[in-house]
Amino acid sequence: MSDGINSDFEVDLGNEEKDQDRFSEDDEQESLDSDAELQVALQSGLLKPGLNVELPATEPAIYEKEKINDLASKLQERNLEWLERMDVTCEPLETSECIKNEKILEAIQSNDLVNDDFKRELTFFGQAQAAAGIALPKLRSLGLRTERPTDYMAEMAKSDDHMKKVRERLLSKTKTAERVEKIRKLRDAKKFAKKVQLEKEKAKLIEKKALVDKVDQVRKGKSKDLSFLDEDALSGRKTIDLTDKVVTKALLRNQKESSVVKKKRNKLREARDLKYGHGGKKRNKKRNDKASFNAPSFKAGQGKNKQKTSVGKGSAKGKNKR
Amino acid sequence: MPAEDLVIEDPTHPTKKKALRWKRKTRVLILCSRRVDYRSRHLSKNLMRLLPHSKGDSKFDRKRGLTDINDMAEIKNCSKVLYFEAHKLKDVFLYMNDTHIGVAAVFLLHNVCTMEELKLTGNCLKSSRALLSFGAQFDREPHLRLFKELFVSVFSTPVAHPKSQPFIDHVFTFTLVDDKIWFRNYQILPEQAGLAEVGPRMVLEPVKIFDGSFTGEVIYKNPLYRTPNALRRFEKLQKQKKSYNRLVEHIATKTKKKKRAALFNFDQDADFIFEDN
Repeated sequence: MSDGINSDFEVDLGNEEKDQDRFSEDDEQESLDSDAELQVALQSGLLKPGLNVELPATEPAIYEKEKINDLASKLQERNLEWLERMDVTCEPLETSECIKNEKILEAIQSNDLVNDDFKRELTFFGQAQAAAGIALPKLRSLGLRTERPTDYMAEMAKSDDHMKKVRERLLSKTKTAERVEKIRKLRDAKKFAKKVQLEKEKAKLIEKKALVDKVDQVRKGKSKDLSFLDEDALSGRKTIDLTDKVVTKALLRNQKESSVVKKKRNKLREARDLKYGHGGKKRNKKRNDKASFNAPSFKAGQGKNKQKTSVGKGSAKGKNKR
Repeated sequence: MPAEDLVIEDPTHPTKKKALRWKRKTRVLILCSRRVDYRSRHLSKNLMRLLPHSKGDSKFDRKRGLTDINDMAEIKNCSKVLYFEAHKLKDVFLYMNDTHIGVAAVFLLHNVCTMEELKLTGNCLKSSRALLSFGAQFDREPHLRLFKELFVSVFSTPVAHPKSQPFIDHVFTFTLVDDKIWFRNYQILPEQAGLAEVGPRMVLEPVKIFDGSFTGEVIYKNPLYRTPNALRRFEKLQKQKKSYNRLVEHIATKTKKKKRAALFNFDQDADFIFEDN
């Protein structure tokens, strides 16, 4: 009896072979390994169930050392003087010498050149710098000028137009970054200002309420103390005396009222409702007549320019035009 | 011949320039085959721009046979050839030849970036002589040494070439990473050892070295190289394998469920649960 649920159910190999006929690529390989071998491999875990694909076969490598060396030497004979070749073979500079920023240095600790693009480019950079460091002094000692003077105008590899585009691109990058920063700061400042303003207004309301209540009390005859009307008490009172019962009552009342959110009234919406609202058929509502033509449009009072400037002979419109 | 003999000691001498004569008359023929993609075509144009000792030619039809390129080089008096050959509009091979000595190195081109990319911010003189920088690995193996000598002969502008400009303001770097040769071009900034990348960029994967220019036997074959076609086929099969394996797993889970259900139902007909499989 089999182990039942606990055993690993393996796929019937018969099905596999049928499907594998589709992939003629592997036909030859299958015929080489016998079924028994395949089963053993499958059980031991060398082969996983399913289609196994072999890597494309590599042809045997050819390496004829003497001929290679011979050719290399022949080529070298032709490039004998160092000044003609101007080549430097060296190890790249350490990345710490290329980059002075410590934060970036910490980020690039990996030694994986294949996958780490940044590290790889840095090694190329380091190699170029090392080579320049060796070769340029050498060239200078031979009497050759290596630096191009600022007044030497010559054709460059990239045209001036192209370099202009490059510069513009860099500039636009910095500009967008700055703009984003600015907007973020403005937004934060607005939020903060709003907060402060709200608190100020609340405090004002509370004070007003407290004052009104005290006046009422005196009017109703509950108290005869008029000290709250004194000049120094009214003006410049920034702190609220919480021990005062009247003040606390006003505070509580204020809190209840402020919990109700005010709806923002859209003037445009209101104007439209006025014209098109209140049910019924809208006959001729969207047609102009003399009055509606001369009346300002819905958005007239919205923007900064609240008045329509009439150029020339004044506002001769519609039937007045004749 | 030591380099000191070429130059008068006194650098302020007015006739210093005349002391350097154009002696090494190497020229490079830069060619593309037909149906080469735009990036490789621009790369060849960039190289023609950067190498004053180069000459361009019209697109070459592969059907003519590669040995015709040797004749074209002969006509134009070029000893070196850089030939970009495109296969299937996808893969571009670079042949770097010396027709006089008889060497041909074939590379598969990867990751081409031309000078026109806006991310490459450096600029250099159009025909100034370049400094060549090789990684230390190039001295360690014979075939790498051969590559190095080939690069030097092709990319180094001869001294006092009539089209060349006097100052040295850019470096070509060749580095071996991941068994491929990475090419970069940097501008040497006048400030403190600064560099800016000018471009172009390319990665050369060595394929073969031949004993003659577009002829001859293979003397070096890269053991790690696989043809792009084979790689694409492999990827395709992997994808098929994925769907096939999913099907196989589906069947496996189905039989599993069946067997389990059968066990609990104590079905008389479910003899297959006792089969050894």
